[in-house]
Amino acid sequence: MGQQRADLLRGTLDLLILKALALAPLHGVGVSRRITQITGGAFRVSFGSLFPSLHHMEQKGWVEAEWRASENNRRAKYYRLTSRGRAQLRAEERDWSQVVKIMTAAVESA
Amino acid sequence: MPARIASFFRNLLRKRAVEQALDDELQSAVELLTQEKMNEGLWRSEARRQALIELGGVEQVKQEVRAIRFGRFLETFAQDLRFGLRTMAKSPGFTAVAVLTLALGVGANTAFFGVVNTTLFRALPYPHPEQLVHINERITKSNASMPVSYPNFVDWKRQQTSFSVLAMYSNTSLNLTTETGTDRMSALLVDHDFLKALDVQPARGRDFTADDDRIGAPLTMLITHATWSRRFNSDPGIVGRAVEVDGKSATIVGILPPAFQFFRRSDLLLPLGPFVEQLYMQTRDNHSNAMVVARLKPGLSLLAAREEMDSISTHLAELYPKSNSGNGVNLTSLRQYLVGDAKPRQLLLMSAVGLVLLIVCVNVATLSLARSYSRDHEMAVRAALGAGRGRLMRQLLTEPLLLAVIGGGLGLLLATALSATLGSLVPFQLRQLDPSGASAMDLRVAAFAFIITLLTGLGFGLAPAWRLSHARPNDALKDRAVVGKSSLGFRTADLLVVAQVGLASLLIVAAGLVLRSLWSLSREPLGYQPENMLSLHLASPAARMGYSLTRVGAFYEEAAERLARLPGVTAAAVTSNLPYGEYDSRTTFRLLDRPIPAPSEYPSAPYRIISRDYFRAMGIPLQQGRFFSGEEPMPSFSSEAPKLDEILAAFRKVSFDGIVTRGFAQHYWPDENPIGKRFLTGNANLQVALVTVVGVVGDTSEDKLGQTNHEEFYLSLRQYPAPLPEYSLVLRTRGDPSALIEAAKAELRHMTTNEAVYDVRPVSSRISESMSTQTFQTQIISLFAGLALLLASVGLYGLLAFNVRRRSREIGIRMALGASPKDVFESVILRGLALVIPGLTLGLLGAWALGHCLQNLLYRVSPTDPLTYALGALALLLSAFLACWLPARRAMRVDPMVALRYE
Repeated sequence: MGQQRADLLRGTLDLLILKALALAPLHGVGVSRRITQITGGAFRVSFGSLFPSLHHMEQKGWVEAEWRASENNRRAKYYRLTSRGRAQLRAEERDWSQVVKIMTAAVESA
Repeated sequence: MPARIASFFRNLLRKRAVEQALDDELQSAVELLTQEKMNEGLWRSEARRQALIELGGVEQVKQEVRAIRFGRFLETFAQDLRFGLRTMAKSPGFTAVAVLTLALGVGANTAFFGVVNTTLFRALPYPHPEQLVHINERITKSNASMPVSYPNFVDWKRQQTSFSVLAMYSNTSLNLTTETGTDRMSALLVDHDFLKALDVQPARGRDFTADDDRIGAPLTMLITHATWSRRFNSDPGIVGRAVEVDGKSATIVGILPPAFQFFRRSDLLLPLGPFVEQLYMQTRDNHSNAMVVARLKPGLSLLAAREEMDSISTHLAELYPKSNSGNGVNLTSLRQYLVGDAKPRQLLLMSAVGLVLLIVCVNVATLSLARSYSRDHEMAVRAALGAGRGRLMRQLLTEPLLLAVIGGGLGLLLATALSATLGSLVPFQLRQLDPSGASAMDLRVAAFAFIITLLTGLGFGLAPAWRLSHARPNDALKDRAVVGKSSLGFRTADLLVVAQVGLASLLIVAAGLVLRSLWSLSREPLGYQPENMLSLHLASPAARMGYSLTRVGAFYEEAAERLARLPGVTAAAVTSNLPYGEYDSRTTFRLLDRPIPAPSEYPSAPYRIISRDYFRAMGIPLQQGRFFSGEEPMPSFSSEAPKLDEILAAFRKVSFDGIVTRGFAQHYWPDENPIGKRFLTGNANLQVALVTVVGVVGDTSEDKLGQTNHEEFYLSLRQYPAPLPEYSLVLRTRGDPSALIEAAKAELRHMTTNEAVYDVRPVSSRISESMSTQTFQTQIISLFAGLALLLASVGLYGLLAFNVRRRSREIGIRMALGASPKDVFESVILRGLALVIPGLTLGLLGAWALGHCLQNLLYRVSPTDPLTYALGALALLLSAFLACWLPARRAMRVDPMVALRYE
């Protein structure tokens, strides 16, 4: 997916990150990989957007971070969803399905 | 929310730890990615390279993360501030010029705004000042305003419903005698409601009552706080004590609060009632020196009050047609009355000083724009290293704002220093209301300074910041020599110089017009010789002499004779109104050889009561007939202190000699011999003096500069010893009049120790004082024009000089290829003129278009006076040429070898 499309979907980045973290805590690179995986390889997030988003969520209290050893025994900063983060995820999911419903109806009506 | 606040503080306070954590996180991400790539089979070095590419640069990602941090704003601000200070320190020359010109611009503007603020905005020092109204009477025919007659005031007060309080006041001077001696004090004779109209209560004691304000009531008195402390040593027991006022006992009933101020000099306040007879105020025809201040009922408009007063006035004119027809009332808000005609002048000065600030802005913008070219490379590097456009812009704006704040701070200091000097621009009466600090700083002034400082910073910072933050890193990094060539920025700088030149020429023309107008004003013939003349006031001994008109007249004539005998004095005379003094007298009259006019159609003219040698002392030439002889028959009064009807009866038996000005004679008896003509002063109701013209003297301007109406007449003190609060004396001296001040005072002290001699000074100083505001304003606007010229020249010079330095390589090549120094010289001069000519044209056109705004400030100069425009243009061209000549000479001396090696 090209850079321009990614820009278009910037608003959805938060939702994807929250979704990626919903299963288990991940470090930054892990989040990127998980997103690629859950979007079936269609979505590749640039780290220049990913890290600011993660820090932003941390400041808002949606995620918590802690340092621990990674799968191959390197220290990495892991992000975990907080209860507020889960609430945010549910809210964003709801909004998103709303948008999809409306947009689908609009597109099909033509 | 707590998480957010916590991170805000963490970001700010533990910056290093936060940065370290971010670095760790990204390093670990690089490691993770590298490991991933190595697992795919890449060599470690290649894997790391790929990892860095995928991450998109550690520093760039860091910058992105930093940008979203809370408290980021403050942190960048501190960073920008440090950076701004460093850049400023690196170019002290530019910084000094910018800060100084800004201080000058902001300072002058703030100081002037202080004046305008005091004049036009600051509330008068009374509760609900917007309800206060000034009322006087006017002659409907000429719309000339005149004082209010006492019976009219009494009728107004009884009939009106628009005002909650209506009070008359009249200023005079009195002798105050206590155990410590006698002093001449300025006093306000007031209606008992006066303080209620201003909504002021005495600090001690009581206010006047209606009983204090009756004819024949015992004298009561309120004193100002200043008088209390100066004259009575703040004695708390003074209330209720009796003192002597003009020889009569008066009880001090109260002391005014320290904050009380009035716009007329007033040491003492006394009820008007007891003075009404003595001042001949019972007659409806007497309009002398009294005005009315009134307070509108809440919610009532001035317009409605005006309507009601007009109808009352019409009604009174029907009741008393002989004295009142042709008279109307004039209502103005008190503020409007006090501001008078100062507004257009102040707005002119304010626009001039505003233009100077604009030029300062443009000037600093030009300088920093030119300077910004040397920073293209630096900005390109920053952009390449990941600085966003917004971030660069913010940083680039911090520096000019910093300059503006420093300049503005200095400017505020300058304004405080200037405000004392500029205080004299506030109209005199308003200054009286606030003697402590006429144009002192207040919140509004401070806010004004702050706002113009910010606007200034943005004004001159925006252009260079915009240009630099839009620099394309590629171009800038590729070839330093091409930087900025014929790019947008240079065109902007050109336009800025054109604007500067235009604004400067506008100001120069405006200043030129005002200067020429002052010049023609001061060159106007006065009709007498003010040099070598001394003038003084001598208080009237009327009270001491039992109000005997004859004795008072003789007293003043004796004073004149004594002064005339002083060595060094060639002539001395008494006058009722000094040239450029504070009093003027005016009377209606009718010509005896014409049909009697309708009561409202009586002509009026100013007159002076003088002693025999007045014309000789003043140097006014006789044109026809004769001067006063000193042998004129005197009126004989039936009692020592005559009542008004006794005076009129005595006057009826005398034939008065009168001397008229050439203008008077020509207006009333054109093509006739004025000698022997007769006129009767007074109005349809009250006939005062039958005057026969015995002489014609030259026209004079004794009341104001640029006086256009010279129709005036003179009566002799010997025949017409009108009961005035005081007369004055003029002395013609052989040498410097100031040298005789002490001698004159001493001589009069020989004659009397009871009456105060004061305000002794040369007539020329009265004239220059009456011109002083105008002179001062003209000096200021000329100063501004000079400053504008200087700034515009500096701007032009700066741009051209920079241009020459930047193009020295090109010039070197051209010279190496055979261009002569003369060609180079000419090309620089031509480039300069290409900026000056359009600017000048625009400026002159602007002046032409705006000239009519100056119309009523000009005297005998047309706002489109070609000579002023030509001289202004010449001055600008000359200084512009100088500004071009210096860089052109430098360009001519460029050594091709050096220039080529240098790049």
